[in-house]
Amino acid sequence: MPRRYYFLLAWVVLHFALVGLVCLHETLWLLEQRLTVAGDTFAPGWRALDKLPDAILGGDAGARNLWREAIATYSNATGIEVGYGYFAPNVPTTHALVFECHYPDDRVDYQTPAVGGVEAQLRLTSLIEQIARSNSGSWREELIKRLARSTWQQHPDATAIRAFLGSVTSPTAAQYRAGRRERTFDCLYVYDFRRGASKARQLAP
Amino acid sequence: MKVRERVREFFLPAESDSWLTWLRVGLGLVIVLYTWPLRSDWSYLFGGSDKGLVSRQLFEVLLSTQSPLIPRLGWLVFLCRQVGGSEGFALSLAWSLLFAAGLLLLAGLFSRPAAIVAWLLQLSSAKSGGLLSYGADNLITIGLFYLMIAPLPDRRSLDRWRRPARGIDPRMSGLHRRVLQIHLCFIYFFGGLTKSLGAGWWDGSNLWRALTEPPFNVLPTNWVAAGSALLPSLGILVCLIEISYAFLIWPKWSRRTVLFGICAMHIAIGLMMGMYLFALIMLVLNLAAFGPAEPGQKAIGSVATGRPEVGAFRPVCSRASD
Repeated sequence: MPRRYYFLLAWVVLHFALVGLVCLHETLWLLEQRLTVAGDTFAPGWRALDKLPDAILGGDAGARNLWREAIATYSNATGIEVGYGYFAPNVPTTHALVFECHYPDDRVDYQTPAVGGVEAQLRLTSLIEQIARSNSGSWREELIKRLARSTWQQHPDATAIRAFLGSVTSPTAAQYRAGRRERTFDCLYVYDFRRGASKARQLAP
Repeated sequence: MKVRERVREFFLPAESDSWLTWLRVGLGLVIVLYTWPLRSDWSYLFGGSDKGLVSRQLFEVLLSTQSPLIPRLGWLVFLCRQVGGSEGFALSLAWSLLFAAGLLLLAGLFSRPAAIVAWLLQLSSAKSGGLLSYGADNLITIGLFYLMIAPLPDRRSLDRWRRPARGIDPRMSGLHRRVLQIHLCFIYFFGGLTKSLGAGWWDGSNLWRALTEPPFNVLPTNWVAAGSALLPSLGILVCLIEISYAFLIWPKWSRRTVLFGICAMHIAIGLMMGMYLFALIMLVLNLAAFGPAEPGQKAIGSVATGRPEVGAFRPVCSRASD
């Protein structure tokens, strides 16, 4: 067998070891976060098990750690930096972002962040979901501020924008069969933006 | 057979390059359908602080905390600015080059450079898009990476017509196809495993939510409600298909059924949830990995039969035992 085949086989082994570690890390994270049917069962054990893949992937390493950067560069370049738990373990709650635009003549209208096509809409949905799930209040506010600014550019005469970020609950199958049709919007956070200033309010813990 | 030979037989089966044609043409189509619908939103999605929806720079700063070497659109913007070009010009150039690379891949013209450009620009846009990216982006990156390093050009490309003398190493072709096959097994096994850990996949509530919550509510909700009795069974079936894929796609007796089932699932996702790009990339990867090797052949058979299916091509090198 030519020598180049051995090099290629070595790469294949390392490549799939990395793919497996990333997938394992994601699965163990779901378990240790108690997001699965396993619940609290063995949660400390999952955390202990996750230490190995996390360490190999450079999770605990410092910001400028060469190993962590090498792994991140390779895994991002090959598209293997995340696992494949799409819609798993459960389809997450949907969130929505609504802007209340206030005008000098006391008029108020409601806008949602808008993009042109269906494909861009999927990306915008992904963005809003990740904003809503963020644990960092300042990061969430920064992103919503930027989305509000984009809306402001489309409505330059607005004097203030109030942003409502909340979860959208659709009726379950049983509720739908019983006649319920409407979706409910539960507001989680409110942000007030005026030109040059912003103020955030959290409505739910 | 010795272990070493079995390993060689598994990882280095002699394969024709028909699968590569599937992959190249399929990814060319994916890139065209990735860029074309975004043409009017491209600058808005990837624009900087002043013009973008969020800010490309913000996501690129975050990306730099992972590694400064991960490709991003900011590099192209920087290069364009060095020669007097604006950010808008750089973003338009990125879109145009990516679209052109998709067309070239479809035709099989300058296959390798087109694959490299497509990989680099798709990866850059996915990374610069940050939170605007979703699962389809990762899968496209995976496909383009494997295409970029595959033994291009394939037999049905215009490149081969231009340079007919060049041959292909069938074992190299087989190795690259095997890598794609193994990767799909990882994708489905862990996808199915994590789904089966959620209670909602066992009682049908996850499928109900996936089909009725925006922006995936393509089907009228009353249609989904009419078939809601089937949702628990379908949810369990999805978990079973995905987990078993990694094992049942290899034996000859089950391959056609599993491939048909998984393709049907992706077509349903595309049609019923509006995730056309996601469905298309998964179909392309599956058909390239496990689809018929030659017109008329049902599916690959080198593992199940123990014999390579070299099809109607002339291998550059042959097996030692041949």
